[in-house]
Amino acid sequence: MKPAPHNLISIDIGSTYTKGALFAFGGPAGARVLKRCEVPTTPHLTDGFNRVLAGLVPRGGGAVDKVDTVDRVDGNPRAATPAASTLSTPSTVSTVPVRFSSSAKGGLRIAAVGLVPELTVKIAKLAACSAGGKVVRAFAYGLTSESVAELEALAPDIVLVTGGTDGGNRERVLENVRLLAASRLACTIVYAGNSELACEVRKLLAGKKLRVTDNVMPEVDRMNLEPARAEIRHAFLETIVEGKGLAEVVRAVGAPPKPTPLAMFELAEALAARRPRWRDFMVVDMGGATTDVYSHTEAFMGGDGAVLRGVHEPLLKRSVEGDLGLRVSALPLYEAVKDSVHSPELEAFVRKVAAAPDYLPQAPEELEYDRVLARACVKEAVLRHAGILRSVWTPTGRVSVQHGKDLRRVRTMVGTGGSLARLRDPQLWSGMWAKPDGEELNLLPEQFEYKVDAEYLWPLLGNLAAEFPEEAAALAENCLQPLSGGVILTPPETPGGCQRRV
Amino acid sequence: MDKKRATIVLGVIGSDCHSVGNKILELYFAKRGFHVVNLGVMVPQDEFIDAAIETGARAILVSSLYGHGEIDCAGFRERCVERGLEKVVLYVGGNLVVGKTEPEIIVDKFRKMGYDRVFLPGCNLGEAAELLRQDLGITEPLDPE
Repeated sequence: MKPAPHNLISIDIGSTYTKGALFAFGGPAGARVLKRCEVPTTPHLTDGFNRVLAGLVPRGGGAVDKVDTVDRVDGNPRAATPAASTLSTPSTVSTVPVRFSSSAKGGLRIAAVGLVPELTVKIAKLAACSAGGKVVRAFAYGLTSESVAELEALAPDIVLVTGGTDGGNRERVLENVRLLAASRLACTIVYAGNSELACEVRKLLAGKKLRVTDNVMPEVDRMNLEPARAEIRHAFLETIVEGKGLAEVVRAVGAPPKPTPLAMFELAEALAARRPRWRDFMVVDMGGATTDVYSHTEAFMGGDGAVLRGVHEPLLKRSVEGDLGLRVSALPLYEAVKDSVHSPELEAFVRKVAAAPDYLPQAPEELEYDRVLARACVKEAVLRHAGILRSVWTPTGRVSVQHGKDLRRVRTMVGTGGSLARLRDPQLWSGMWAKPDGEELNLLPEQFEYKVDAEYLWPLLGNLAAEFPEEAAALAENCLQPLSGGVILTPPETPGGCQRRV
Repeated sequence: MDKKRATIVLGVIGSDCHSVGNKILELYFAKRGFHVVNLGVMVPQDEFIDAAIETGARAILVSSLYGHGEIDCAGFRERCVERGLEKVVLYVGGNLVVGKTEPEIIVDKFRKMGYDRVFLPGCNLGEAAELLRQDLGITEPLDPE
């Protein structure tokens, strides 16, 4: 006997668009999307949210399982007149459970403090990213009065303080905490450093909003991200929601929000746990301002006598590139990739779209520029996410030393985000392997199928993934469009290319 | 030994991947009551220092077995000082140079590089542990072998 279908609404408040969908889970037809709705994000976030909600709530009450109206409220920002917001009084009440996420108002902005750049600073960044945050600044070693002033000016939502293994460094960690105690910072401080100092930290930071949790690096090269992630999530719910203008939404729908990247993270976890073919995969979310990369694959396989140096990265890793994006970040993107895609026409286009982030290119040559930028952007973002294998000659022969994460076994690449959905470029990955290398091998995926989340459902399914992993994962898999036509993309076997060398 | 055990960082420096002796050192020093942070093989100088900063280690024990120790180990003390580990105790040991060189010359060379003690093949681990206890100013006796 099949269970009765039930409806769920999921809404994501992005920095430019507020998107939502009405889902039917548990019916005989399996998990399905019934309705989509999208409006420009409003300065008062509740307005846009309510407009989307009003567009999604099924009329007449009772569970719906029929796809009769896959609506799209037009997302053209110029079509959204203030008059339309009269639709969206805060009194919009949904009979269907609503889950939502937000990356509006700068997302979850985290500053990381650690000791050694390659150890606790790096791990603090991984923890912040995996909790759905954006690392606005990271500080290594001792803080100074200048760095504290910078921190105060940045006004992050959370300062994540790490440093020292358990029983390890005391002096520098305590000195950093003392400087933070004397600062004017009013945000939440999450302490996840040397656990031996927890009592002293509590005393020193008694006047601050403080959360103390287990060390992110209890021993050298052993990572412990989960407790810090949990504290960041709690801090987001308890103290940050208000500042992001989400409290009213919380009161209206009676459910807590997630940072959008955390929703994506949970969807990736659900896919890995519930779908047999989703063991080694990546997701690239390219936006106007940032590009997020998620990878789910074992970071280090050893074999061939390879040695791993540095941090053993997690099975599921997220990285955020704040300088890579197709609009707001078009100029820094161009700076980062211009060695391979330089042209005066492209540069003129970059300046144009950076100045007008709403611009949607129409002319064929402009669409082509967008594609060139997108290819360079995903290549750069994935290169930064990937590790490196270096050949080292020793008296006993050649040894391979790996730094960072090995992505070679990745078999599925998913593109999500408005730009990748709009571009639908089967050639997106054509340039990825064409990086000249010497004795170095970038540990990029070796062969994969490229699929696009064309309806931008993944962040919405992410909101439901923790509660309904089975159905969210099934629908996430089924809603993808195989852009490479089921073809497995492989690197070209050119002599100067990036083929296996070890 | 103290209730709070002294932390020491251990590893094989440079491009050297001899791992057996490294494991033995880890087991031995742990048995004698030290808190051992073993970085394994092929460890660059900066990784020893990174680990010592995070763990608050008071000594770094550098091994080199493949004959290139002189190049790999040079400048280590200076790097420690630059990175704020002025007081760390530095030991080095192994097959430190290739070919037949008088032991006194080898010891002298590595002492001049700033290593507090130099251990050559055939040295006694019990003596090394005892010297380490003294150099770290630990008053209690070590745990039994």
